[in-house]
Amino acid sequence: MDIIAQRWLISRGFINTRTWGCYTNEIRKKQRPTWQELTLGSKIMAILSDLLFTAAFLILLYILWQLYWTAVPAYYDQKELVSRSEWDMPEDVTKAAQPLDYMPCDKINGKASYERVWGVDWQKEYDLNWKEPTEIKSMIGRVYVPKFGADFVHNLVQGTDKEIVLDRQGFGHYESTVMPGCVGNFAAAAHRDGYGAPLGDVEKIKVGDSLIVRTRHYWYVYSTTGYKIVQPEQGDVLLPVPGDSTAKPTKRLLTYTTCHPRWSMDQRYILQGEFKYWAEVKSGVPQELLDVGLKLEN
Amino acid sequence: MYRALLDLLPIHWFFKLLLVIIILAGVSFFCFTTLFPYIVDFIPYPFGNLGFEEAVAQ
Repeated sequence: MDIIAQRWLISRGFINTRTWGCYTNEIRKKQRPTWQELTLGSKIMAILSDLLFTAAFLILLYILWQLYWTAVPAYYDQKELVSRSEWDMPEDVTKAAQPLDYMPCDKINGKASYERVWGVDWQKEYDLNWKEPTEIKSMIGRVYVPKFGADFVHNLVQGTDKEIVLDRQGFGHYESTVMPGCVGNFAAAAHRDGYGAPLGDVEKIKVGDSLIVRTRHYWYVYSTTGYKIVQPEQGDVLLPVPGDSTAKPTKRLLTYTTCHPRWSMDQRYILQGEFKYWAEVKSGVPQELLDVGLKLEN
Repeated sequence: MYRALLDLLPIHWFFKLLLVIIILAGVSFFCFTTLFPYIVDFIPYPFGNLGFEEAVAQ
């Protein structure tokens, strides 16, 4: 900038040379004292203010990390787990899946139902009794919520450990609850904010909205029936018949739990759904997902 | 303090700016990938196995 223009701007008060705006060394040297010229008090204040700005910068970084960056490793962890899974694919990804005319998890010839449902030896595939997992080796399924669009999909793995499940894989299945589709309460937890925030907009899900879980071979489609806001210690929402520890379950329920209010851990938001239908993955994609434009890719 | 340190560097202001940006990017990357994931373990988080699972077990 021309020196005359600078002086004109300074003289009119457009540039405050006491705080900012010294464009040339000539002006800077006249207006701003060097470090040596500062008094001891000014030096201490200068150091203190710089340290406070540094702390503010680090705190800002921490907030950005917690809210947004944590989604990045979570996304890649989920993608990596999916890439390791060899799952069924529909023969035609544009065709609506045909609902099956029998119910999931029913006992066939007295044999444990999940073996038939999952097509794998469930006990070998997932050790239901593990307590201190160190690594997630396989997933139960993937969670879709058509209300959140075709891009919304998160892994569903066994357990609700924060570090290796919720922080990395999206949804964690409560070990004490039944598997998707079974009679009882299938319950899973997910973060409300940070780590991809799978249930960040959970309050937007209204009664009647579909909640879909895809396993290796099947789609399980639930319909939202309502929500509750409870205290963290109110674990009875996970019971086979929520709120009644003695009742025998007859319905196939779904429960998603997450923090409430958003950005807080004071309470829990409980989203409840009931089984609508199930279908083989090979037969197609649920109509609810086709409606929002899902292009299924393994 | 930082500006005084930068004044000591006998390089063009553009390179000083570049240096500051590189340092900030480096600090951010270190925080995001190493420091924050480490310190977050020390922050209590009443969720997961410490929440509903225990309540159900009881």
